[in-house]
Amino acid sequence: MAKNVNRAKDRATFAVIGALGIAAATIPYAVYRLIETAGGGGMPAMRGMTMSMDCQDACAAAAAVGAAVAAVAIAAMFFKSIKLRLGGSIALLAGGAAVIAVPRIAGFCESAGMACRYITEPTLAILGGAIIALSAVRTASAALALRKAPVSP
Amino acid sequence: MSRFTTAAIAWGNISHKRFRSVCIVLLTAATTLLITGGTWLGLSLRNGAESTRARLGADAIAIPQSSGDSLEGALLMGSPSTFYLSADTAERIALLDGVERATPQLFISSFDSDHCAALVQIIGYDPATDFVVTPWLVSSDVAQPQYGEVVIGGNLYNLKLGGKMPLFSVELNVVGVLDKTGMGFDNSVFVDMETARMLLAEYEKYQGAQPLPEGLGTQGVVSAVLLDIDDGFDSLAFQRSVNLGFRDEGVRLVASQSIVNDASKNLGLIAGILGLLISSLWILALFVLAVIFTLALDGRRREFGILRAVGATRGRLSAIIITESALLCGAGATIAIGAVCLVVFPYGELIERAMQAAYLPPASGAAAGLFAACLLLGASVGPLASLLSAVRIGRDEAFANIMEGG
Repeated sequence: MAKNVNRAKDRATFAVIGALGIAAATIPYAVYRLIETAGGGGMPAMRGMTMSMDCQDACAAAAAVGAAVAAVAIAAMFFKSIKLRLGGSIALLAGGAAVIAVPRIAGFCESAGMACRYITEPTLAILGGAIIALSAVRTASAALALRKAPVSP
Repeated sequence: MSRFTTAAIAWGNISHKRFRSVCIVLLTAATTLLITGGTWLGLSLRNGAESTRARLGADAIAIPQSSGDSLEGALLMGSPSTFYLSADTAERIALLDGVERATPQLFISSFDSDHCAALVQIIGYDPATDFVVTPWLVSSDVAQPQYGEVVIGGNLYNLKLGGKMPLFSVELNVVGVLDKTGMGFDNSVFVDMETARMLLAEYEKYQGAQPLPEGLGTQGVVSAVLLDIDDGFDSLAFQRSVNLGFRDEGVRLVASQSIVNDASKNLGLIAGILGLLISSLWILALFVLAVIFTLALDGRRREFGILRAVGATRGRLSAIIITESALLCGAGATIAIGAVCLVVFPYGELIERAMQAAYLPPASGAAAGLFAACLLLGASVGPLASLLSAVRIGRDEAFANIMEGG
């Protein structure tokens, strides 16, 4: 009974983490529509040259990392073994950190006045923080369950 | 034995009445959230208006009529723009009767592209005549930028002192970083007039650049003339005479006070409404919680009667009730302060833009004081609301409580 309750809690947490991963992947493009201003559409360009916004790589990185987090979380929902669920939680813990760090490494625009700086970056930090917190709880819970599990002869 | 401490009994009551407890926590959280958020907003707007008043430093600014609200946008909201006024016209305005001192400035917008470090307002000023930027640099202990050098605003945090700032096809040395002001200057960079003219020539090579007025080169334009008007002159009459006299040349004189008024527009009204809202909310929460605690405690008279019968003192009963309400309201207030921090710190810039006014959040010490005061205010509402019921329950006799409690 307790095992089923734990599994249900794990599934629910992985589902929430998956949703957060999808949000991290889509927000830079879908919600804040940075794609409309990226890629040189309406941007001024030196004659004969193409331009793109500095944050374009950061948005692509957020999409990739968010999609990876969502994929791992959805897969982890169907893991039966506690060890696999523990592995999934640890991977998601790293994924949460990556949601914050990788787009920053890829580089946002320099000015705090740009939308990527005042919307996308803090939103990714909050989403990454939430993914880390939820994964940490699940990691601790799975590790505890593993320790309490009877040792097979 | 620990099961019978005041805190343990209070915690037991909270866990057994989960729905009621959650409702009290949510009510306190909502009240504290509105009180803290409202106070934060009010303080930030007041700081922003004061900062604007301190930084403008001139009585009036002459700009081209065609620039519309660009100056206010650049100064208050950091929306970069480029506009031109003939340098010859600017000189004639500076020589008018009533002008105590005058200095030109050149406003150029950079581009957000690989060619520029950031989308910023470039402000070129003339160190020989300047009386606005220089005192600010001196008071901030920042070096005067020479040719090829730049002093940057407080929002350009990817650029460091001693680093290089690419603008168009040139790189400038960063010789100073200014503190945040809460206004458009945070997204601006300051260069001397010679550097500004060189940057203007580079800017003009790009598509989407604001074209120079016909017949004028980069040396023949400025964007604005900042004026200090003699004390003996009526500033309104001076403004009217410039606007009339230079109408054909498309000049508009803006009084700095009107820009300050823009920054603090309706600030008094907003502060008044916020104050009223905050006090009403707190009183409402106090009243609602008093009703909740009175009804809840009336339903628990039997429990308190039994506690009295087994030896609990009157003081102990009151302490249990007050601890219970303090725990619930403390939790609600903490959640609210956490939620406010999660919004105002990461999204400060977004709030600033949404407010469309100069917005300067309180410094760390003042912010910590504000959060501590709001936490105390939120957490105290429960104990205050339950005080009367606690005294009444403690005063009643054990037998009466058991009988009345049914």
